[in-house]
Amino acid sequence: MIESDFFRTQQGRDYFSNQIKQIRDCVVLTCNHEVMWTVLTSHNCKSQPLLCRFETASSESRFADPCAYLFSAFVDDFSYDLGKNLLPHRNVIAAMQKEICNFAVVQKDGRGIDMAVTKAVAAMRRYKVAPNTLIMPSEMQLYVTMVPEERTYYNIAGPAGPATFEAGPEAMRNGTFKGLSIFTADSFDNGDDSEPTQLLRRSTQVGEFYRMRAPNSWNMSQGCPTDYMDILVYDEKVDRLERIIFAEALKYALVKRNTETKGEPGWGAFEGCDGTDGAYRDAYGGVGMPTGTKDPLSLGKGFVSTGSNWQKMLASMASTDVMEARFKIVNPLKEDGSPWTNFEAFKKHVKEETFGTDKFDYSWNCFQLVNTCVRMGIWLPIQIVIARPFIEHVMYSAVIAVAGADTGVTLYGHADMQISANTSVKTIEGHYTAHFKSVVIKPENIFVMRDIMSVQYTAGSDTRFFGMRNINGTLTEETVTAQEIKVQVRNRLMFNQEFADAYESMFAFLTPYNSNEQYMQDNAFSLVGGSGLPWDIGTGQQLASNGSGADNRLDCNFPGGLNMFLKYNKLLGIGGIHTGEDQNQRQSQEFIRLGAYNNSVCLLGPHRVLSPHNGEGSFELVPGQGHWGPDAVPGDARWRRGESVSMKDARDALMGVDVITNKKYT
Amino acid sequence: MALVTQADPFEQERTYNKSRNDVLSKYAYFFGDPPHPEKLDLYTDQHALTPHLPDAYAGRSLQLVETINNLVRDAPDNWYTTVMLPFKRMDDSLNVEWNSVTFDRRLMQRVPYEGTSRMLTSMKRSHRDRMVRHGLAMVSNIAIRLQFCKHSRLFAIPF
Repeated sequence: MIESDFFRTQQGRDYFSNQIKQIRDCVVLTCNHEVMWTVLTSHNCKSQPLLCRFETASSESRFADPCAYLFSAFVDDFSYDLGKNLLPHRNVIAAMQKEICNFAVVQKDGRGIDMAVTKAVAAMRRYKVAPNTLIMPSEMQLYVTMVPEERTYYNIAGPAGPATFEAGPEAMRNGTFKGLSIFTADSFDNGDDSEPTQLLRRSTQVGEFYRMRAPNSWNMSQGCPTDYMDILVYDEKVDRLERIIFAEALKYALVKRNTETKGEPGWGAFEGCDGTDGAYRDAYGGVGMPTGTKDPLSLGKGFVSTGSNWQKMLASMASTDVMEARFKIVNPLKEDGSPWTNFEAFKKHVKEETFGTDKFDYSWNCFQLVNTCVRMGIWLPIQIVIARPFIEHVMYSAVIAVAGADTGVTLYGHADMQISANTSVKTIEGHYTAHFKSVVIKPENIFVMRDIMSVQYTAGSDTRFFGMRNINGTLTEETVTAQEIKVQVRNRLMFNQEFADAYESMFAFLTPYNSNEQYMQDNAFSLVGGSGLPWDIGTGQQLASNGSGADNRLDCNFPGGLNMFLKYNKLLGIGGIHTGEDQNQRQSQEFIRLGAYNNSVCLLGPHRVLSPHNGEGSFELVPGQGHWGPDAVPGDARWRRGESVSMKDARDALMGVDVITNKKYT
Repeated sequence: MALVTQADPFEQERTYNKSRNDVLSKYAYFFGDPPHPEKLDLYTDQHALTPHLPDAYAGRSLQLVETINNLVRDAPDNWYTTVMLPFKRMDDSLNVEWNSVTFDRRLMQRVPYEGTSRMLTSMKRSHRDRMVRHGLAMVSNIAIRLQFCKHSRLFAIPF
């Protein structure tokens, strides 16, 4: 074109000028990306705990202040606590407190961003650091300035409320927040064939679990409520509460092995169990098992010999009139498929032939009677723990920092532009190269507030069990196979079903329920046992039921302790959740990681259980202790996926909380 | 005096047997002074009808390097490299290295008479990093399909 007159015209020169500006923009974009990347990974420098240090410039250093004294620590509170061994080891919730509090705090609390920033500034004071900069994504600025009623409503925020709303995010960008200058972290364009990169945006998995268990007390004249194990769990995919029926959960807890028959002892995960006492080693690769392994649910010999449990069960059957009425409704079946017609014969069968001494043999038929008993309201000392470990959302983070050369610099070195001709295609080519690198020399000047805003639901929070067949498959009670569950877990973690977006979310584990604290599951547990996390999740609660060394392992926090972990892990291979991950990155909780990071830690999630005192069909809330707060109700999906609506408004748009609390689900 | 200033950018160019001034008038505006000016004279004798990039301009273009560097440095609204981690020019080395020395702060201990005190501890660490080479290329299309007509010059601009 230079040969032509085009480049002799003003348009031609503008064209060339724009090409140069294009290079400029690319260089600037790359430098900006380098800066953000360095800021977010600066904790890799891993300086020392709260100590005093000063910098000395070496011969090659061009920026370090040789006389600068500073108080070094870690880049964020997590690293600091980890380095100083300050994380509680015996309480996982306490160890994860900061993570849980900050998780989606922008939306969970109208003033959450204020609290998060104030806490972060206070935390940085531990290192004698006074931050002056707040870096946020533009979407977060929009939400903070225009959505929370605490900021925008006149009756709450005063005259500043409507003014804040009118000014919008633009005013925030040009102003300050809690004394910090605000800068907007833009996305980095990757071309037309891939989505832009926002370094403050990442996918995060959290885990929750829910308990199906018998009530501790009930109206003795009425017996336990029928279906007392049923619970309500929030399904984020459809944005409503879904009722999980005990019979359904039991199907997925009783996963079938390849070849087994209903009448044989030891169904599914209970391979080798026949209800008798004693150790069982062969089925678990020689792993030492404690006494009682062959009766892990204490429904065989242990059930009868444990007087309190036996008495509770008998008490639940004491009201003959009530139980007989339920008997007629439930219409239980015998093993041969014919119905029971005589209530007294049925009671005798339950008491003496199923739960009598050495009678419960962990066969499929025995578990079906368990289901029948639960439906009739007969008390049983078992529970099903439902785990949802892969609740995945796209989250935004923010950064608080001390801006300037005191924190670090972007080194800009040699640059070159080589001009050459390509005569074969008659073009002139210019090859521009430059050396640059961002360096953070004081990582303690940077604080990353992780995952403070949720912007998109990915998967893992619906109410489908792993093992559920697709719509074309046939699902009968005994066809939930371990192989199917393994495949579906793999599909979920590798997103192999993007064309259908059909990912399952839940595991079900059948476990004993008694006074042993490791069976209570009030706190948290890891699906994998030794989860590799810096806090000791495996020994967070009580250890062995008998105090022996065999139970004294990291896996004891799993529902049912080491016994049940070994059984379900052998069947489902759940220990493979972390396969292929970088162990060091998981332990150090890197903000930017290589590849996926699967969660295996489950905290108690909000769910509703049948109330034994408020009448038939009444549910009461079991508050959650996890990342999403104490409750989850219809409407939550809107703010969790980043819509411009507050949590309160989203819930109120569908129903009031008081209505939910008192609603009867049948 | 720079060679660029000697050229008239609006002078009507010759269609063949380009002169030294023809070359300068076309390329100097964009690429500045040629990195190999001695090759301009040779070019005059080549009697080429459709010259591409003259040999004098093949190689490093200092003007473009400085132009781009200045544009990058003065890019508007770029808080990343002006406020957060500001640019620092470093031309004499690709490596950077710095030391940090930490002095522990401890509570003093009680020391009995004639007892020895605990020694203060400190730790020195060295950090090292290296600048990374980044690159990208631009292309100017001079693949003009020459179509001779009675006026001898007719170009199809490939836009």
